[in-house]
This record gives sequence, structure tokens and C-alpha cells, in this order.
Amino acid sequence: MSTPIRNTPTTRTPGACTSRRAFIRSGASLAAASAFVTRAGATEGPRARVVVVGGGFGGATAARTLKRWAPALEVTLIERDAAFISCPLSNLVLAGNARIADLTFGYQSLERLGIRVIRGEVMAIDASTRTVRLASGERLPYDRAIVSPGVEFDLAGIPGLQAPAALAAMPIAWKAGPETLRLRQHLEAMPDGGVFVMHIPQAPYRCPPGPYERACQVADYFTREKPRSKVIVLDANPDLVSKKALFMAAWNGPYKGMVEYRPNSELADVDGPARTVKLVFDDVPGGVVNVIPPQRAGAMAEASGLVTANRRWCGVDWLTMESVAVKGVHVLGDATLSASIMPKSATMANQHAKLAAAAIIDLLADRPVEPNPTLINTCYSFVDAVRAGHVATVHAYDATERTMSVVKGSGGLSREANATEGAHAWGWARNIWGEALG
Amino acid sequence: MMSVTSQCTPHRSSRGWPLLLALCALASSALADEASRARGLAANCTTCHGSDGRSVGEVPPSLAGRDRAALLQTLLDYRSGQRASMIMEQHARGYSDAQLALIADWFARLPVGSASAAPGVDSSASTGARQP
Ligand code: HEC
Repeated sequence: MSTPIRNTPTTRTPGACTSRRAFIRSGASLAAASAFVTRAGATEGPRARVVVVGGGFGGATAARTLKRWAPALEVTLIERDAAFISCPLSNLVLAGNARIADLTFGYQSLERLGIRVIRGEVMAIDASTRTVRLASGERLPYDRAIVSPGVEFDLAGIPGLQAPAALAAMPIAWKAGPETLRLRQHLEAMPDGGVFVMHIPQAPYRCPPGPYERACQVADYFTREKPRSKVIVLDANPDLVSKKALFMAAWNGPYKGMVEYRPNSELADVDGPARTVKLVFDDVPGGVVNVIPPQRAGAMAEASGLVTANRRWCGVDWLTMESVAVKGVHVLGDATLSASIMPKSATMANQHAKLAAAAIIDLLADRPVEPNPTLINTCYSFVDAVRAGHVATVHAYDATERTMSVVKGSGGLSREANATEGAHAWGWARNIWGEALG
Repeated sequence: MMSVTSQCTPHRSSRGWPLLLALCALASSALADEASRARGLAANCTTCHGSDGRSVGEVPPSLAGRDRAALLQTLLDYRSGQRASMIMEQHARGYSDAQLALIADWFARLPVGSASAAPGVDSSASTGARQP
């Protein structure tokens, strides 16, 4: 089957927007330009060009929401991959509890909505010329840009993972796709009585409960197929960073004696041929090794001057998601410098996207933005094939601190993992996928 | 300000029009601000309940077109703990009375309709529907 995404040419045929673009180029300010077009197309919202970089939970949701809420916008989405593969639920693939095909979606509905989807790699955003520069050399002009590049792995401190053969031997599988399947194959090939050793980086990283869910999924698989095997969780953090009670209940319950958790495990390196995780004070050999490296905002964020914190994350204005460093560029999702207790999660990226879309429509129409936005987070984790639990929060804008803070009394953890919440987790997934690509 | 008062023809795209209708129903700029605030708050919920309150697979249930008063009462009952839930009480406790009223009003005004599932790569059919 051919891929659903055409490699759309970036030079557009002259059409209705030519005169507007000429108008904008003539030196008129963005605000004047959008006011001009707002009068012309009042019911469709402002006419302007928004270019979205990255078609994940943040970017695709932003593009779709913008087009639905302001149909007159010209929305372009640039994505590197032909298909979207959901990281949420991909740990279930490791245990054979879901198929990667269940988590794989196309961009064709976005194209049908009138969004231009370009398959390509973005090098950087040039804010001085308001253009997005692609690896192909093409440049796309924008009135507002959205950057949702996700994370990239920082392998600087893990020489053993840099060798070309290392990723085949020790797939990271922290971005769902071929590495997920390869890690599954390694687990299938491992004899009963073997050891799965994983290492978790210091927070913040993408999907805080994800590593513990992974340990549960591998343990679920071992319980069924390889009951003499073990899971060793080496955590660089001093304790579980998310849903501790839920995971401890699984590790001290159904997986008792199978999962061993070791906090404060500082990574020194990894030895691929020996299948060994090298800690500062210890070497831990395993049959299957899975090191989740430290992370930072995707490379194009750095190249675009968006990285403002610890040389890793992008600071944003929480009223608009606009970069605090680069005007006219909004950053979403895992790449942002998270507000307090705000995880790098798919739900959060989805919420960022809708906040940014509303703000961008207001900004382009020269209207004030919402002064009191709220966001929610929910992360579901599966402890076996059917039982899940959640952590939830509601966040409101704090005008004094100019950040998002958790609303007192809101949110919490599941009392226990159960099958009802397993069904809710799949429901959440179908709807958040629909918000991005439906 | 937003000129929703004069031009209230629904947009040709069926996906664009619930907002326009809702905005048109609130025909003054102060109310348009209110509508866009309601839309922003309701967007907190659509992650789980589906865009425009139309849920893919109906878990959790669709919210579009529900009776406004019943919707609000349900939310207030979640918040007070009167109505038991796995997760809704934890979300409901994050909102004021006024916010919950805006949200209930927003979803009540949205038309019922089929949800938009993400399409699989091989066809335009949803792959989500196959799962439990
Ligand atoms: C993380 C997912 C999630 C979010 C976010 C969420 N809900 Fe829910 N909602 C659920 C689930 C799951 C249920 C089923 C009840 C339960 O167990 O919590 C539910 C039930 C409901 C119900 C009862 C529906 C019925 O017919 O029984 C209403 C009303 C509702 N939610 C409204 C809202 C509103 C309004 C918001 C936003 C403020 C919201 N929900 C946000 C997951 C969510």
C-alpha cells in the first residue's frame, strides 16, 4: 500500500491569496494584514498562514484545531514520517497485548480538512524572515509558526549507545515504531530464566510513568510465557517519579519476586556485546537491555533559538504557548520547559495544542487572548493486558507567577488499577488520536 | 472584536459550523468572548470525550447535544463526590461553578453527530474500533 502522504510541492500555484501575500510583503504589519482580511472573511476567522512543524500529538492536534476553528487559515503541517505511531499504548506491544497496527494512523483526514501536509525535515525556523527552512532547501513563509518537535535523545554520556550496531542490539523504543518491534523480538528470543534490564534517566523525560508501565508489561509477558525470568529496573531517580502506589501494588502483587526496583542507579555506560548496563558503582548484566537515554527538545528547536532552559527545553508564555525567546513561534508538547507538576505527556501536548490554536486565532484577529486558561493532564498506565490506572491534574494560569499551577483539590491517582480504567484508557486513546488526526 | 453578529452563515465544512452556530447564538462581542472562553474550557474535556463532544466508540460518553441542566448537575455531583467515578470527580474539582456552567452550556449547544476517528494508514476506515 502506498503511503497516504504525498510529497506535496512547496511552491504554491498563484490563487486567491496572492494579493494578500503581496500586501503582507509590501511591509504592512502582521496585525494590519490580519485586520484587513478579517473584515473580508469574518465568519471564517482570520486569513493568515500558520506553519506547524511536527505531526505528533501536539502538532497534528494544533493543525486540525486551527483549521476547524478558523477555516480561512492556511494551515501547513510538516512531518518527517509517513505515518503517526502512538507512543501511548506502545508498551503493550512489547507484551503482545496490542499490535503496532492498532497504534498506527495516517494523515489523510487532515489533508481532506484542507490542511497541507508536507512530508519533510525542518532544519530551523528563521524568525527574522518568518520562514521555515526545510532540509530540501525549501522555505515556507508564515505569519505564525508552531513547533512541536518532541524529544531527541542525548547520547553524549552513553558512548556504548552511539555505536551503529548498538541500537540494533539495544533498541531504545522510546519513540514507537520499528524499535518497539525489535525490542519485542529480543524479548521473544530471550530464553526463560533470562533477565530484562532497563535504565530510566533522571526526570524530566517523556512520559514519566512510561518506564514503570514498561516493566509491568514485560513482567506480564514473562508471567505468561517465561515465568522464571526477571525484570530489573535501574532508576537514576531516587524513587518512582509517577504513580508509585499503583506500580508498587503490581510489583508486590502479581509480579512479586519477578520485578526488582533499584533507585539511585546512576548510569555510567552500556556494553552492547556483553549486554550489560554499567552503573557508576556496579555492572548489571541482562539478557535483554533497554536504556532510555536522557532527553531534550528536538534538534530543530535548538537550531531555531527556542531552547532557553538547561540547554534542553523551550520556555513558553503559558497564555499563548509563544516562545519566550522567539516572537511569532509557539512551542508545544514535550519540548517545552514544563510548568510545575506538568508532565511531558500526550495529553499535555494535546492540551497545549488547543490553547495555542485559540491564542493564535485571537492574535491573528488582533483580539486579546484568554487571560485565565486551564489545562488538564491525564496519563493512563497498564499494569497487565487489561488493567490500567491513571494520574490526573487540572492546571490553571497563575497571573502572579505567570505559569500554570495545579488547581488545589483537583486530580489524583486511581485507587487501584482495574479493567474499567483499562477500557477508559483505550477510550482516551481513540479520542486523543481523533483530536490529532480524525 | 469578532464580527459574529452580522454574518452568521454556517460555513460549508460541517466541522466548522458548531462553533459558528454557538457563536452566532451569542450575538454580542461580550458573549462572543464568553463563547470562546467556553470553547477553551470545553477543549480540556475533548481529549477524552472527543472533538466537539463526539466520542469515538462512546467511551467515555459523547457530551454533544446533552441536556444542559442535566450535564451541569452531573458535573456538580462529580465535584461534590455525590456521584462516584473513576476519574471525573478529580477533573470536576478543578473548576468553579461558573466554569462548569459555561462548559455544560457549550456541550449542550453542540449538535449530535458521528465522531471523527483517526484513520488507519491503509484505508480511511478507523482502526481504533477494533480494540476492546
Ligand atoms: C481523562 C479523561 C477525561 C477527561 C479529561 C474528562 N472526562 Fe468526563 N468522563 C471520563 C470518564 C472515564 C467518564 C466515566 C466516569 C468515570 O469513571 O470517571 C466520564 C464521564 C463524564 C460524564 C458523565 C457522562 C455520562 O453519560 O455518564 C460527564 C458529563 C463528563 N464526563 C463530562 C466531562 C467534562 C465536562 C469534562 C471537562 C471538564 C470531562 N468530562 C473531562 C473521562 C474524562
